[in-house]
Amino acid sequence: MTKKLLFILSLIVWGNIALAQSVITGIVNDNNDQPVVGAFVVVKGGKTNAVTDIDGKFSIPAPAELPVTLNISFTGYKTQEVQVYELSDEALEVSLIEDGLLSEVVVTARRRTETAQQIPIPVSVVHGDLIESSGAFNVNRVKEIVPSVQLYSSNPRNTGINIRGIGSPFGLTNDGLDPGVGFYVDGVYYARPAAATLDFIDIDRIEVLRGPQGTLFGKNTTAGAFNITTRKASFDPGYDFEVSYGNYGFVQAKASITGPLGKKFAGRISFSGTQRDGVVENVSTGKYTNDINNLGYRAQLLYKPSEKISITLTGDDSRQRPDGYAQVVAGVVETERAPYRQFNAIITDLNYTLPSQNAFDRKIDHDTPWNSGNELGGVSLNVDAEIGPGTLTSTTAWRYWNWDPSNDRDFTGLQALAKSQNPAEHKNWSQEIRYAGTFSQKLSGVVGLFWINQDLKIHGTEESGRDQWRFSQSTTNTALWQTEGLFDGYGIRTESSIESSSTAIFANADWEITKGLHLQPGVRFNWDKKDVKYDRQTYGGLDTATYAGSKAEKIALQTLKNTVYTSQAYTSDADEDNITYLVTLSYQLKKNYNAYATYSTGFKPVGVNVAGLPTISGQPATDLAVIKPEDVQHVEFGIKTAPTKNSTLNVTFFNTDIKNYQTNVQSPELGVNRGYIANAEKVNVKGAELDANIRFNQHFSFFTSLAYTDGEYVKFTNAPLPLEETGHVNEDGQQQAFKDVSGERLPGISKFGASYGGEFTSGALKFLGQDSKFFIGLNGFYRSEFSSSPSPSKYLNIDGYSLLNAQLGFRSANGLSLFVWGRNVLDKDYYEQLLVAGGNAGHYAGVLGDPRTFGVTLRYSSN
Amino acid sequence: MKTFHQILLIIWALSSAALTFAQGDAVKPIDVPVKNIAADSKGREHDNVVVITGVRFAYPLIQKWIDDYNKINPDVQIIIESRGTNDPSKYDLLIEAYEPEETIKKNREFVYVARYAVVPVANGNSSFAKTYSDKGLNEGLIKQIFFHDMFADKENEVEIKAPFTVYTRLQKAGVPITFTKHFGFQQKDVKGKAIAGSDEHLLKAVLRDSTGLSYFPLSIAYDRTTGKPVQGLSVLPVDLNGNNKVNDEEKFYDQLASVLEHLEEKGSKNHNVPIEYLHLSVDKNNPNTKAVEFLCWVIQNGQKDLHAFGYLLPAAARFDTEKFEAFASQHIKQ
Repeated sequence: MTKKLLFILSLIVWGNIALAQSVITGIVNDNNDQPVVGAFVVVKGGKTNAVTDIDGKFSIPAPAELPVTLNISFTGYKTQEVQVYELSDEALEVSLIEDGLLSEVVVTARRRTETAQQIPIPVSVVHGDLIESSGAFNVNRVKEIVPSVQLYSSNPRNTGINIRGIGSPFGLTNDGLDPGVGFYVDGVYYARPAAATLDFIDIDRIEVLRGPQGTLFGKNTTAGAFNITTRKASFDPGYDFEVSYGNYGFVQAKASITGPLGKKFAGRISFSGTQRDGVVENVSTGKYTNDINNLGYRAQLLYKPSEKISITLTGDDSRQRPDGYAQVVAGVVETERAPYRQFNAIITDLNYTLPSQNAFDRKIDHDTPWNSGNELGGVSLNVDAEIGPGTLTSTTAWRYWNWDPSNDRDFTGLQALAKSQNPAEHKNWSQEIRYAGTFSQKLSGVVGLFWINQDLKIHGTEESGRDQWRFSQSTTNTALWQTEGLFDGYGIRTESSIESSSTAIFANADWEITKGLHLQPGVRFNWDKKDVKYDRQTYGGLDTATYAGSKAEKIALQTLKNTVYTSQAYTSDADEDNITYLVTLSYQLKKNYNAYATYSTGFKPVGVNVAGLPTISGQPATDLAVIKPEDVQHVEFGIKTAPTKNSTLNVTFFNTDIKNYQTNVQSPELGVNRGYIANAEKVNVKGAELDANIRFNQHFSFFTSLAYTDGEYVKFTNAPLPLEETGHVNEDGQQQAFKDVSGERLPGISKFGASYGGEFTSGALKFLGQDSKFFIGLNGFYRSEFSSSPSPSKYLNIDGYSLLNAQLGFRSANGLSLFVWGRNVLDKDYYEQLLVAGGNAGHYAGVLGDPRTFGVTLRYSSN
Repeated sequence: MKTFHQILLIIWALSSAALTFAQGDAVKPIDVPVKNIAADSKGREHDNVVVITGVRFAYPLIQKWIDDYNKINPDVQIIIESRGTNDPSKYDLLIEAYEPEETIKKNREFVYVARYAVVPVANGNSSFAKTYSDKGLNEGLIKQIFFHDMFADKENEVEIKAPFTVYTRLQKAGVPITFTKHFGFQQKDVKGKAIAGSDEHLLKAVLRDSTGLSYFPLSIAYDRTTGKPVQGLSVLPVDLNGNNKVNDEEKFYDQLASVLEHLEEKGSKNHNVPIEYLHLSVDKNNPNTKAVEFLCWVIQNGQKDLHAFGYLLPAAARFDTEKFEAFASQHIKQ
């Protein structure tokens, strides 16, 4: 009897064990009852997962504790959540519904969650997975995915982000101007365009809003905005680890971990580090320059005291320490100066030859090291509280930027412009409070208050070397130019600062007048104040007071020194207020066809010159210390369509007129070799854009974006001379510094731009013993020829070019991914930008596009 | 050998304890008073055993009938097979909640014993419940909320401010079939999170989620001891007369009795509360006579319990007792 009892008990034991090892089986079908092969089945919050087989079946170990949640996903279908409360002998039958994701891309551009196809704003959305798989790790790469975006960066400081060709003046950055493209990360305004050169850390998506957005955002969106959303801290544990290796010693590592830190707290820590060897050889030192050396961290602490309140504390720090941003002489122009002042004559006299006549040999011999210490970071506190029918959001941020460069801006191995660097420290506080929501069935909107205080301090140095005399020599009637040590070590040290405050109140509403007809008015009040202090003092060079020569020679030598640098000091301040508005009328013509028309005005704050003023008769032109704000008038017509459930097709036409366009004027005067800002009376940009996406089936998807942009100076009578006209003398024999470029094209704008791409994704495969999918993707970018000179030049034009990127490998949403990627796989030589060397001797340098790069990425993710 | 079995015994004890511990916060057994005895063909060899299976939301009502029946027929053992089975050889009586297919009608003798109504519900703490307990739902809104509809006219969709999460049954079952069919859809068309489990599990899921929304038969949605909606649950009024609005006289969901009264009164003129029959069946050719006897008793005595358990009385035209009793007379041993 005892034996029998024990035997029965033993059976129960194995029954228990069997139960503990139970499995959940199921079959996944589509809406037509066809099996979905390769669907991912993931136990939420756990490590186990499975992939459906050729019959759509899956089997997954059941945890001891029920209920358990399964997430079942497959490209092209809505993810289905199944909560398993009891185990059954019968397989679970799960139906996946084809998703209309193409028309349901979620955006927060209007500060509330909507779909991209719903909102009457031309918006491009780039998701984190596309960014990651295409090897795009900063905004400079994103411009190849959104052709309406232009980014010109000769180094992180001198970075300008434009949308549709406008936003920032072309050339070097002047800190006295506000950018026209707002850069927002999780609602925090990033004041410095240098942020665009930093590695993305844990990006969920980037929304690029085209056209003025001042009634939705706190600051500086006359041309558009980048609204970047990062991945958030989550109570569901998850992690991602990624490492990439590529040619030129490319190594990139990324990591992100998130999870609960208690019942009401969750955290997320993210890291990104990138290194790459230089791609330009300095034949003088034997070192390769233009390397990449980036590190970035981000940490988030989420406190969720209730379902309706979320408080997130975020800290981030990113730093770059590259030997980088060297520009290579790309050509020499014959100016209208006397023959002895031409670049080739100068370097012949100095017994110098360029290391190469072809910039794409990627060789330099620069004698001043190129360094670009760039550090950005900050802390922000974001509070979201659901109150009534909307959400009240408060975003408080403190941010900093430290810039420590070393440049060789004569772009040669000569000691002409030995030093040209503007280390800077920038700090800002900002506070935004806004309330956004849906207030009735017919009314939704946002109202907000934004305040920012910025403090920028610049400690600039411009210094000539022993060869400067020949570049500066403007007469041949005296031998004093060659006086030993006249310009050697002669320079200016600048201490300048800008303190600025900006306050804005903005509101934007969406009112459904009748069925399908929406009126969306918006208004913005803006107040800006800027205080500038500028003080530069000369130093070094030959001490003319103790020079062993006659008094006349001493005076003459000092006069020569003054032709290069003079001391200059001024203060200026400006404040301005303005009201701008927007009216949009949109109408849903029929299902999935939304048409809209917008008229809006915009305002870019008053500009202050903080990089020195040109001199007129030896005196600073203080009337140029403050320049007028920009007034923008913008008209847009567009239609957003979803011709089929798997495709979208959006078209928009726009016309933007800007009065008092703030531009950068490049001067041959070395004291202002970084340029000074001025107003062009009026510019116009018009164009059309088309965005199309289609997903044929589970395996094939394609996208294309086309942009036609035509920008011109409608009126700009005092434009700087293009490089080749330097030294121009009019019919009356008077030296000319300006010309009328009215009717000529704006710099940096290609008439045609295109991005296109496609991807094939396989069904489920086994790769390295785990469930995965094979994918192969190609994406290309094309832009037509464009001007790279503020005033149109015969020479400083960049030919159109195409780039092709490719990636293929195995991808797993939850597990190991391994893929290879190539960027610029056809190894196209191209310039990103051309820049005139200081002093306008006739040579200009190019910012070289990267050569072909390729590598392999290994990623391990757990959702 | 003895030692080996003793070791197994210890392992069993430890593993049972471990499993019990591991399931500490896990789902508790369903609160349905059923005798959960596995049915097998041997059981059916005994003349006095009747095995019942089928839709689980009806088990409380069936159990009540069993209990009452056993008071006068204590020798008959009627067992509810709660895990369900598709094998007709393993049950005698089948409870179903949707119109039987023709093949089933051919092989089984059935009787419609009750009607059940399916109503939309929301977690009582949800802002959705607060809004729509007053506003109510019309047909368009119900379709918009609950169903994937690629042909839906998005232009006419109403903006819903209150967050909500739809929960539905995963497995094919009577209530979801009835609910979806009424609105012209199939069960697979229901949006939201799917629950692999019973209606009771679905109820748990909705109560756990402060944005939860679902649909239930009255027998699940109402607490029969209080006659009010289950604590934490709001039953949402719907447009019954089809005028696209929810009038004040259509808001009667505080008390189960009131709901039953209105729905029975409304009858076929009701627009947006799906109502379907619950029927019991036995094998037409070789029925368990004890099962037939039990079913006859149900026909004679079961109607009085329907309202208390959340069921509507069957329409007289469908409650065909004579047909079944004629069938019974052929099989019951006199």
